[in-house]
Amino acid sequence: MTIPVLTVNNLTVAYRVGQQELAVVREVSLAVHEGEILGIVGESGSGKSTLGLAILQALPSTGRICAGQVFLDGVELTGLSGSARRALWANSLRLVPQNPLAALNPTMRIGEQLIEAIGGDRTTATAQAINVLKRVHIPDPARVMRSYPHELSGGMQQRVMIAMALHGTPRLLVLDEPTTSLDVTTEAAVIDLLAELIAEKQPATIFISHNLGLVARLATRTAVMYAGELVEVAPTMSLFAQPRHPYTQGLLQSLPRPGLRYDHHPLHSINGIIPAPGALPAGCVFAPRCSLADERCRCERPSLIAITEHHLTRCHYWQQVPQSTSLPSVAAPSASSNDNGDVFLTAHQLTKTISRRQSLFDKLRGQPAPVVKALAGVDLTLHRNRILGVVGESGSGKTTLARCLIGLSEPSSGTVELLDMPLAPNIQRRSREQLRRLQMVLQNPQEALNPALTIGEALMRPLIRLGGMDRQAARQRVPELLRLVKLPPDYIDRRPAQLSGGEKQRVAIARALAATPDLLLLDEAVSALDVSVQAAVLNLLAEVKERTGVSYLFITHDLAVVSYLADDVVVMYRGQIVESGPVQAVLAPPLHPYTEALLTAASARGIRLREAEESGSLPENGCPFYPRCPRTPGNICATTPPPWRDAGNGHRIRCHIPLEELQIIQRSVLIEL
Amino acid sequence: MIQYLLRRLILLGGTILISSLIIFLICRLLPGDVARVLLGREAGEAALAALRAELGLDQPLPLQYLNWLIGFVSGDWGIAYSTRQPIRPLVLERLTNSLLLAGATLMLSLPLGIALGVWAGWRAGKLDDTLISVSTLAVTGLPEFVTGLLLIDLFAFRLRWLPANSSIRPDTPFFEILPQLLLPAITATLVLLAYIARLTRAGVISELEQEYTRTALLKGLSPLTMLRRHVLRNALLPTITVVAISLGWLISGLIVVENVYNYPGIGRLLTFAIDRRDLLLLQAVAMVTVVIFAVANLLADLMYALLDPRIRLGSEER
Repeated sequence: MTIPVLTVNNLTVAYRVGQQELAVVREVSLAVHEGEILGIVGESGSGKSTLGLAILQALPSTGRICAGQVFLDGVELTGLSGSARRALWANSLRLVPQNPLAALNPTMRIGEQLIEAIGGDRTTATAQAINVLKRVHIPDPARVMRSYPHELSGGMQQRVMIAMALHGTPRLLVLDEPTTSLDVTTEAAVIDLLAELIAEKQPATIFISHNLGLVARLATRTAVMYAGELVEVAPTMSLFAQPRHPYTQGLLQSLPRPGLRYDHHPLHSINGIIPAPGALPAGCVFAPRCSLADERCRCERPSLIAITEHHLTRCHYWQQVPQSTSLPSVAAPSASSNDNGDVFLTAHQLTKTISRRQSLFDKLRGQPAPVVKALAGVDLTLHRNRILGVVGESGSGKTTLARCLIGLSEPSSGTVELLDMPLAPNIQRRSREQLRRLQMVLQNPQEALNPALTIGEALMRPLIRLGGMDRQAARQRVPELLRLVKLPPDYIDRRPAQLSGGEKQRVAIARALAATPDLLLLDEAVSALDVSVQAAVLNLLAEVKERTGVSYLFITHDLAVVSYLADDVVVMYRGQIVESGPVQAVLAPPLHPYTEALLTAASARGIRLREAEESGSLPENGCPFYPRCPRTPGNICATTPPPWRDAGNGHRIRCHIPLEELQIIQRSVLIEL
Repeated sequence: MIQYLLRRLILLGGTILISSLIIFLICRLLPGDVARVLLGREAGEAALAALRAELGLDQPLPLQYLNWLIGFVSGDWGIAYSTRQPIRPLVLERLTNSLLLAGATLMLSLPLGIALGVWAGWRAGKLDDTLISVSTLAVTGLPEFVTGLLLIDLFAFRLRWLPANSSIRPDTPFFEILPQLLLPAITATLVLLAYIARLTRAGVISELEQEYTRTALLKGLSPLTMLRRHVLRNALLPTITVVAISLGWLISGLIVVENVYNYPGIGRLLTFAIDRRDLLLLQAVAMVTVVIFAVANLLADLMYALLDPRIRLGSEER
C-alpha cells in the first residue's frame, strides 16, 4: 500500500453566522492516493463544497477549520505560513470550480490569466500556455489567449479553467461540480477531457458532484456526504451495487432509470429535508428521514465503521439496508399510454425572431436587420391527458416555445389553437377561460413566488381571478390544494422565505393547478431540485395527472426524467424540432444523431459533438445541426433542408440519412456498448 | 465603435441645441428690463428705446434666438452689457481658471480618496475602516463655506502658510498661482473625498467576494499582487465613472468655493452675470456649462467601455 497523497483527519469546518459558529463539515476523515479519483456526492447543503475548499485551505473569510488536520504528502497544511501556503497553491493544489465565468477575471485577457498561473519567465510561460490550451483541445489557442472570458462559450471557459488547474504537475485536484453549468453534450466532452488529463498527470483527485451518474463514470471510490458528515465510503461499484447506508440507498432509488414509467412505478423519495447546520438531531443525522430509524438511532450517534476493508458506513443497522436496487421488470407499454386523447392544443409554424440592433449605416443601406431565430417553424400537437416532453440544450428554443404557447412572448408568425379556437398571441388579450385552461410552472421557485404574500394568499389569487370564487370559498379551497401537493395545511399562513426549495416548487405547482387548468407548462420545473426532492415532485405530478386528468408540456434537458415522465417527446435544436414521437420510440434506440448525442452523453463511449460556436453562422438553407453532426453523410446537409421521415406510430425524424441506415447505425452502436 | 461615437456626437449636438433654447427662453422670461437696469431709474423712454434697439431687444424672440445662436457657434459671443467687454475672452479666461482648479482638486482627491477607499475595503469591518468612513463622511457633511472658512483661519491666519485670497490675475505665471490654488482645491477635495472613498470601498469589498479573486489566490499570488492586478481594476470602474460624471460639477459648480476664496472661476462669473442682469453673459456662461456637462457624461461612458471589455458600445443585443 502506497502512502496517500492527501490525508484528512477528523476535519471540522464552521462558518461564522452572526454571533454563532455553525459547523457545516464535521469530523471528516479520508485519504486519496496518487492518480485516484474520490467522488464526493451529496445534496445541496451537505457541506461537500466547503470540504473541498477547506482541503485547499481556501475557505472564505467567514469559514474556519475548527479541528482536524489536512496532510499533503505528509506535510500538514492547516498550520502553514502564508508564503509556504502560496507556494503550495502555485505548484500543487488546484481547483476547477463550478462556474468558470465567475472564476475568471472579467477584465483580463485569457492569456494574461493563464500566464500568471503558470508563472516564471514570460516567454516560456506564454509558450507553455499555448501548449496547455492545445492540451485541453482548444482549437485556436492564439485566439483564445487574446479573448476575454465572456467572449468564450461555457465549455471553452471551463477548458481554460482546466488548463489552469492541470498545467505543471499538480498533486491534488479538487473538481467542484465542474460541469454543472454546462449542457449535457458539453459536459460529456469536459468529463472525457478530465478523465484523460487525470490519467496522464496522476494527481490525487476529489470530484465533488450531485450527479450520481457522473461520479459513477469518473470516480474509483465514492464518499456520500449528508449534513456535513461522511455517511458512507466505498469503491464506486460496490457503493452503487450494495449501498450500506439508508441515505445512499434512498438517493439511488430516487433516480429515474430506464424502464421506469410514471404510470407504473412511483419513484422512491426521501421524506423530509436535510437539517440546517445548528439544528442537527442528537443521534444519527439521518434518523429523522430514515425508515429504519428507531430509538437507538435518535439517541446514539453511529460512528463510521468498516464493514469490509474498503467499505465504511455510518449506520447502526447497515445489515438491514434493502439491497433490491434492481429494476422492476420492464412493464409492457400500457394500452393507455398509446391511446391518443382528443387533440387539445395545436401550434402551426410558430416562429420567433429576435432582431439584433442594427447599425445606422446598414439601416441606410437598406440591409435587413440581423436576426436570431429562437423558433424556426415549430408544429406541435398536444393531446388531452398526455405528457409531452420537450428536450434540447440551452438555446434550443424550449422556453421560447412555452412562452409563445402561453402568450408571454408573441410569436413572429404562426398560430396557436386551443380546442380549435385561435388563441390571441398576447396573454392580455386572452379570455379568462383561456387563461384558466393554460397554466405554467417556472424553473426557479425562489423567484416565482411573491415574497410578500402568504402561501394562502398566493393560492387564493387564481381561485378568485380565474376560478370565479369569492374570498370565502377560495380560502376554504386552499387546504385542499395544499393536500394535493402534499403540504401540511398550516402552511397557509407561511411566507415563501419559510419554505425549502422543494416546498416552494410544490406551492408553485399548486398555484398553477388551483384554477383546474387543462394543460400545465412545466419549464425545467424539477431541474433546480435535489434528486430526492425531484423524485417527490415527479411522483406528485404523476399523481395529480392521474387524479385530475391534466396534461403536461414538460420542458427539460434531462433525458432520464423525460423517459420516466413523458408519453411523447419532441427534440429541439436551434429553434427547430428534429425528432418527435412516442417516448419509447424516440429514445430506444435514438435515431436522430442529435438525440443520440444527448442520450449517450452520460456514457463514456457515447458519440460526441463538436462544440457549438457561440456566434457560428448556421447554414442558410441546410440542416441547423449539420455543423456539429458527427454522422453527416456529406454536403447535402449544408445546402438542403432535411426531409421529415416517418418511422410509423407518429414517430418522425428530420434527417438526410435514410431511416434504414439510422437503424443500422444504432444496432451496431448497441452491440459496441 | 466609430459609429457609436458618431451617434453619440450627434446626440450631444442635439442635447446642446435643446439646452440653448431653454437657456435663451429662461433668460428672456426673467423679470426686469435690461435697458432699465443698465440705464437706471431716471432714464427716459427715448433713451431706453434707443438702447433696446442697439442691443437688438426690440426684435421678435425667434430672430433674437437665431442671431444669438449663430453668433455663439461662429465664435461671436457678443459684448457684455455690464462691462462693455467682449464676452468670449472673458468666459474662456475664467474657464481656464476653473479647469485649473478642477485639475488641482482631482490631483488631490483621486489618489487620496482611492487610497482611503482601498484601505477601508481591504480592512472592512475593522477599526481603521470605521475611522475612515466616519471621518470622510463627517467632513463631507460640512458645507463648503464652513470648511473653507476654517481652512482660511488655520492655514492663512494662524499658520500663515497659504494666502486667504485666491484672486489670481490672468498674467500670473503658473508656479505663482499654485499656492493660491491650494486652499480652494483642498476645500473642494473635502466635498469629493467621501464619495470617492466610499465608492472605492464598496467596489473593493464586492470584488474581493468574487470567485476570480479566489482563483487569483490559488495561483499563489501574494495578497498585494492579487489586489493590484485583479481587484483594483474592477473595483475602480464605478469610481472612475462617477468621477467623470462629476467633472461637470467640478468645473462649473464650485460657486461657493470660488466665492469664499474670491477665486475668478466660471462660477463667480455666473453669479456676477445674474447680479448685473447681464443676459448675454449669463447665456454664454450657461451654454459653456451645458457643453461641459454633456462632454463629461460622454467621457464617462467612453471611459467605462474602454476599461470594461464586457461593454461593447453600440452593439446591444436583444
